[in-house]
Amino acid sequence: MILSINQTLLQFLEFKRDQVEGKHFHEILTVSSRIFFQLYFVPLIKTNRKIEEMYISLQSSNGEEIPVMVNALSKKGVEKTVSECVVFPIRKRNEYENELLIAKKESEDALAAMHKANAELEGTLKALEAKQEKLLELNEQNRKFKIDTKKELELAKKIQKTSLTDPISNKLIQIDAFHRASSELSGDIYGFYQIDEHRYGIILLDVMGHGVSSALITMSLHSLFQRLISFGVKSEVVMKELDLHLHRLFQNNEEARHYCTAISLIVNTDEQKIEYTNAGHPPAFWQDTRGKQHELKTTNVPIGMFEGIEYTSNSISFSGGDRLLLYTDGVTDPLSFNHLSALLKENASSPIGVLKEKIIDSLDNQKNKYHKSDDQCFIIIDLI
Amino acid sequence: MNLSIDVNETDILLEITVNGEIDAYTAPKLRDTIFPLSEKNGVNMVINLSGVSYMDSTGLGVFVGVFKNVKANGGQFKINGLSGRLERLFEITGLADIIDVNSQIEGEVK
Repeated sequence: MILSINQTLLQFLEFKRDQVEGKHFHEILTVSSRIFFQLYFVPLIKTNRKIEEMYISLQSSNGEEIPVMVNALSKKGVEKTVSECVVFPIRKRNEYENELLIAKKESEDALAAMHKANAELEGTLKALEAKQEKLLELNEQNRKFKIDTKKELELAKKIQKTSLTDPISNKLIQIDAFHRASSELSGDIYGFYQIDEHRYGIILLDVMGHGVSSALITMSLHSLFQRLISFGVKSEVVMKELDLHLHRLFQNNEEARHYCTAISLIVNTDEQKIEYTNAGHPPAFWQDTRGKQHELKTTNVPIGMFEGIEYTSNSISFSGGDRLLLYTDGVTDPLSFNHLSALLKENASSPIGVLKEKIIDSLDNQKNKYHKSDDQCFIIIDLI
Repeated sequence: MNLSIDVNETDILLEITVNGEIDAYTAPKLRDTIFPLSEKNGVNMVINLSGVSYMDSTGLGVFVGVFKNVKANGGQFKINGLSGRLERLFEITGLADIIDVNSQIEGEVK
């Protein structure tokens, strides 16, 4: 029973004194606190004779729940035992506790999310490591493939070089050539052959494009022109046969079709005549002893381009001391036609080797200035 | 350098304008774009190369292939806007005598 209550608590609970004094303590407790009161407060105060900081909920006259902290001290009187209670409202503490609980829940959620993210990261890391391992394996395969390819290309380059003929030098004629591929293999090829005592067959071809595909075609043409020219077959017939060969090669594959420009000459040192066929090739220079330059211009379209072409030849008469220069467009693209013409003129009296070096020097000087790279090939013929 | 190809088709003319450089790297794109157009019957095709700064033998090969296809399908084929260097390329190869280059054809937009 409530024996006495101070004014502050009365105001707090919005009760009048006579509403609580003499009433059971339950009157100012919530329903749940009444059970708590009976289960804990009463036995504890009986046993320990005091209670410190017990949390309990009071109830005001209008039914509002007021959380409080209770300290109680039991005093034994003559007739009965009296408990003195001090009550502290703890509304804010409750709010703080709720906030703490929310914060705790949030941190637990964040921790769980972090664990989940960590697990996912570990999975990703493992997948990444597996991919990296695969990549290293592929890199190794690629490196090996590159080495093998380089070796193969070097071998192919040697084979292509082997197919090129050596310079000819005798009392009637001198022939020398220069051949440089833009990559490992070249789409340019040449050949010069002594047919008999007075006749020499010379050919220079430039297969469209450059690199491996063009080089394969040059080698395919090489075996044919070598045989034909060595047998003294006329230049227009050589061209016709090469033309037929290319059409047969690409008859069912338009996409792979390659054409080829070529110039073929037969020099007769006895008759001092040259018969030539120019199949779409840059015009060869013919410089006479007075330094006057003529061009051996196109007589027909390139070989392998149109079917049924009848190749023709032209004939010129030369004198001792005349000089011929045959070249591919890989020479005139960086140097220009006029530059090459001037080099030929300026070195009219220079030996064949000197002119050759001058042209190579000019090409080397242009190497970094001209942005397109093409195979380069030229042949110099001195008629003595 | 990149290659750009614009196709402008009217009832009477198929005008193809090429810009850039035509070499071994860009020629496949050129072939893939214009070769199917040359399959049409009686096509009147004009290739404008005024924006082409460089062309090598690979490009020449593409145009010859397209020319042959246009002719096989009963069409007309012409190349215009050639620079001096490109025109010389057609002359050197003897193709200027076969392919109509740098002249006007009927119905062409000037």
